[in-house]
Amino acid sequence: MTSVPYEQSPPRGSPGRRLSVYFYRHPRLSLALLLALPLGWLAVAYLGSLIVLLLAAVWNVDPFTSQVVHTYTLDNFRRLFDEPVYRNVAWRTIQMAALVTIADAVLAFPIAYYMARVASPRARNLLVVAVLMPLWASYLVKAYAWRIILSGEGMLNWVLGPLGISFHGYSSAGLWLVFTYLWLPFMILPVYAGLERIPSSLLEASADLGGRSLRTFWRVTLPLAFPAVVAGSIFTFSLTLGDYIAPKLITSQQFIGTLIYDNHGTNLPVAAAFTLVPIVVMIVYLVVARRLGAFAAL
Amino acid sequence: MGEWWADYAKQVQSYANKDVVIGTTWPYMENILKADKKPVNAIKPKEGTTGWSDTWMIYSKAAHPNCMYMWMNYIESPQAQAKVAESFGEAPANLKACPLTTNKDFCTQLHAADESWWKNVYYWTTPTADCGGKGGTCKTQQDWVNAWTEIRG
Repeated sequence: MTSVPYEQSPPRGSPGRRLSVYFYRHPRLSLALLLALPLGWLAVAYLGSLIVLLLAAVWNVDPFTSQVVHTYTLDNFRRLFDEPVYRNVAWRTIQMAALVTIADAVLAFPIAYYMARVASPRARNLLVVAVLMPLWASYLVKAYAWRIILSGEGMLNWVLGPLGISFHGYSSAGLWLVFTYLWLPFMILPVYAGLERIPSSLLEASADLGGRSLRTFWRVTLPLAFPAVVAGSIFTFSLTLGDYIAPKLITSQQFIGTLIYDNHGTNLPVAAAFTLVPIVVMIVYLVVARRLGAFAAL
Repeated sequence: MGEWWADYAKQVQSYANKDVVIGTTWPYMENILKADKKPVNAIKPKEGTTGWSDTWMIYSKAAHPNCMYMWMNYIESPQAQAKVAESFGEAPANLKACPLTTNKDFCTQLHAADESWWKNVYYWTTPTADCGGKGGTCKTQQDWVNAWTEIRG
């Protein structure tokens, strides 16, 4: 056995060695230096830009050029409260986000359960790839594909036609289908991870104590997997709340994202003020999700 | 009728799939749909229509002014004007472009030389509070955008 190569570490008293000793004696300093870059990026590039955006909500615009003029006003916030359209649009978007989240949870749970508990390791790998596959395709392509599917002369009506059903695709219901499709992988993956983490011994213990499969599912599996469902719902809910491309393509109805998008060129302060609505909604949502244990399940 | 359109691809697809049967349009979309042999037609109402002139913007502090002049010469030339006009489905500003278009009836179809046609084409302007200097008080661009938001609900 060869000796440990001590001679590779810097000799005593050399600058490198002294620096190393210094950092060893000041662990907080080395931690601060390690975190400075990522934390700095988070604070400046991420939170900083958000703050600049929110600050824009208290400025005016030049009526001719639509440029932001730095004169203080609260009119933009007043408009959000006085004009019912903003309330209606916010409420419509929150409802859509909730319905999409419920649909994704209902669809994702059996798929995730099969992947985690039933499928052979080989089938499981194939299913993980299959779930991730849509994420490799461009979002725009998928949204446009759905626009063609939902068209009056599209595939959906072609399938439903013989059943005597005509589906008006360019509507809230159509958009709900598109969102449910788009965000489904974001629900399946956390639920799959959550179900996989449940120790088999707990299910066996339930069976030993006389619990049948349905009872075990309701009393053991579901409560243990619920935080994972809430974790997945953070994605489906927040992605629906902020999206503007799918609503623009599928419906003529206004949602939070489309309203901000339509205003950002001509009246940035109004758009910035309206941004506060989804931010507040998401903060409330995250606080509730945290209480339900979603962060531990991520 | 059926849905608002905000980008031309959406409108072209709406007409192609018969999700929309009547609505406002641009000559650009009309050209694409007719090139695809879709049964559509565009008309100008006798009350007139809105219109606009496409413009090129040039940076006043361009690093290579000579390059800029060469570009201006090029883009004003009948050859370049013919290409731009046909690509966008708009009447060329330079009438010398008319004999150079690939579709020989292009300028006639767009009434490029027909001055009476343009009498009731109302050009887009930015609405201002002082009514563009004509006196009185008018709605600003922001008022119109807000009204549009509220109409759509």
